[in-house]
Amino acid sequence: MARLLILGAGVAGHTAALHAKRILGKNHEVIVVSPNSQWNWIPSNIWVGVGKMKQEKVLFPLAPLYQRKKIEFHQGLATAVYPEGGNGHESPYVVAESTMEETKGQTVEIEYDYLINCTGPKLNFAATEGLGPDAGNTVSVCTASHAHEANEHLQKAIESCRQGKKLRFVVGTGHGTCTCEGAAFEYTFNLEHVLREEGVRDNAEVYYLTNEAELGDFGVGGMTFTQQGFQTTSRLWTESLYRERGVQAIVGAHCSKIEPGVIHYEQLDGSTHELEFDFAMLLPPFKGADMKAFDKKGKDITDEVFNPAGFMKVDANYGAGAYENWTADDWPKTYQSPKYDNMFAAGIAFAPPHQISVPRTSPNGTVITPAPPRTGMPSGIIAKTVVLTVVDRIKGKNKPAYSSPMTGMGAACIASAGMGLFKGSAASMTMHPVVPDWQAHPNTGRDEKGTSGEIGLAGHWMKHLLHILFLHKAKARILWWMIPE
Amino acid sequence: MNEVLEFDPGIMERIAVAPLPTKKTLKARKNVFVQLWRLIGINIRMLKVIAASHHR
Ligand SMILES: Cc1cc2nc3c(=O)[nH]c(=O)nc-3n(C[C@H](O)[C@H](O)[C@H](O)COP(=O)(O)OP(=O)(O)OC[C@H]3O[C@@H](n4cnc5c(N)ncnc54)[C@H](O)[C@@H]3O)c2cc1C
Repeated sequence: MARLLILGAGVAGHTAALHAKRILGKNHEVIVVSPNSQWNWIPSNIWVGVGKMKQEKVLFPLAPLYQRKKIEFHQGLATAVYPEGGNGHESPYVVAESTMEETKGQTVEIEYDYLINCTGPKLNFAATEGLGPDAGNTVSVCTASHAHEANEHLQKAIESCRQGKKLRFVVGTGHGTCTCEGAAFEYTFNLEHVLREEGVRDNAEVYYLTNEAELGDFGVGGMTFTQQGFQTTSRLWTESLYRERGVQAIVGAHCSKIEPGVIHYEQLDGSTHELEFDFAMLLPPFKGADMKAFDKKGKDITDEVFNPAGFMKVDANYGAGAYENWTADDWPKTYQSPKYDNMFAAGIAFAPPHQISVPRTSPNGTVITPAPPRTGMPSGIIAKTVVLTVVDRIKGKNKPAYSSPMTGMGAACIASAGMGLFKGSAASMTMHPVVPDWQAHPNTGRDEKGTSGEIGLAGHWMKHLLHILFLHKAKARILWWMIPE
Repeated sequence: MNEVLEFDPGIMERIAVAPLPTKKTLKARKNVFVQLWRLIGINIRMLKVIAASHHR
């Protein structure tokens, strides 16, 4: 009997756990360690954040599901990994700290044969002074409870507008190295839609403040769409939507400090500014889980297993250097640790080799470049790929590891721009591949047929359909495994 | 409230001259029949991308 240990029960970890158990069956153990008792369908947090969906609709408890699926669940936070064993353990093991009320802080040591690290992002609000719900100046939609709180603030602001006050709403990225610009874009247009619906749009200024050097970059260096016989850029396409909806933008911005009602930011030209606001939803930058790694003798090998930001090193080329030298080949394929061949990382937890967007620094030396996004679809696909490799190893098949590089993988991004069965709207984008491969696609870096963007009600229906389908899948209901990642 | 236009004139100018959708386009984006057709289109495109994306 082999034991697969999965750290994290988000998009990647939960996908990995369900597929692993389905394929491995009763003869092998699948164990999940994750700090939250509930699973969260994060993309729909956007709707929670504008009061269009209840928090309960994006959450469900994990323990009963894992019990039904015979997956062992430890509600806790992994703090250290011992890939060579030690301290009396023959096998490698992970130390996890309980996050359950009754046993909070108690640690367990869980041995494994194979480890998949799916610990996703740590929301690094501390990177910008005054950023985030704890500091109390800005809100976030990164978790369901953040989104719930964001909506409470939003409703108060709407009420003020109703009473005739003119307010400024700012949505965007709270640091020069943020990722997930798609989520900020989505929240901007949902908020704008709600303000119109509530009849207070005339009393509201809406700003999008971003670390992207230009609109439509989305952390993937922008896209080229073919529309009605022309090639157009995601930049022009996005700017058109901002004009149509009357949303102002500030690009190439790094927030250096947030004070009550004031955002201090620096732009790519080195200039510094202050922007007053009444309501601000600013995303934090991400870092990896604060996990340590030790060898058999107890020596700290964290910097060999993880990169300085805490993301796990895998089979990527981390020595590519300057932008001119970047190639598609730098991106990982099997997501296996180069140091320990029974350790893998999937989703946001793996250390990318570099950004996808062109790296930029202000004359003051401030890095203002989106980090590479690893959205839901790539996170799920990578998780399943890694599971298939682990299954082969467990079953003793002498086959090479499965490969799913982000230079061969597409992504679909349906950015909601307002809810409502007939009044809703969304910007539906597909790109293939996520990371441009200029050798395979010399014109635009991507497959022109697989890269597209369109705006309309159909996108909203699609987004709603995805909400239903992915919750069905995450709850492992009938034929869940047929729904692609 | 401070005035932001002066801080980022480049992007504001770009947005000001970005192509605006025509009334016909705006109507088509909300028309249930057109959008049902587009839903099929988006689905086919997404399925193609998914099919091309899975592991080897
Ligand atoms: C507001 C918002 C909207 C988004 N919308 C979209 C969208 O529309 N489409 C899309 O494709 N993507 C979207 N994304 C991105 C998507 O949510 C992520 O790509 C995806 O969640 C990444 O999956 P993951 O498993 O790597 O991380 P997560 O889903 O964040 O999961 C990480 C898991 O690890 C757990 N964990 C953390 N630390 C530890 C530890 N030390 N030990 C054990 N467990 C740990 C966490 O609690 C969590 O359960 C959105 C993101 C945000 C923030």
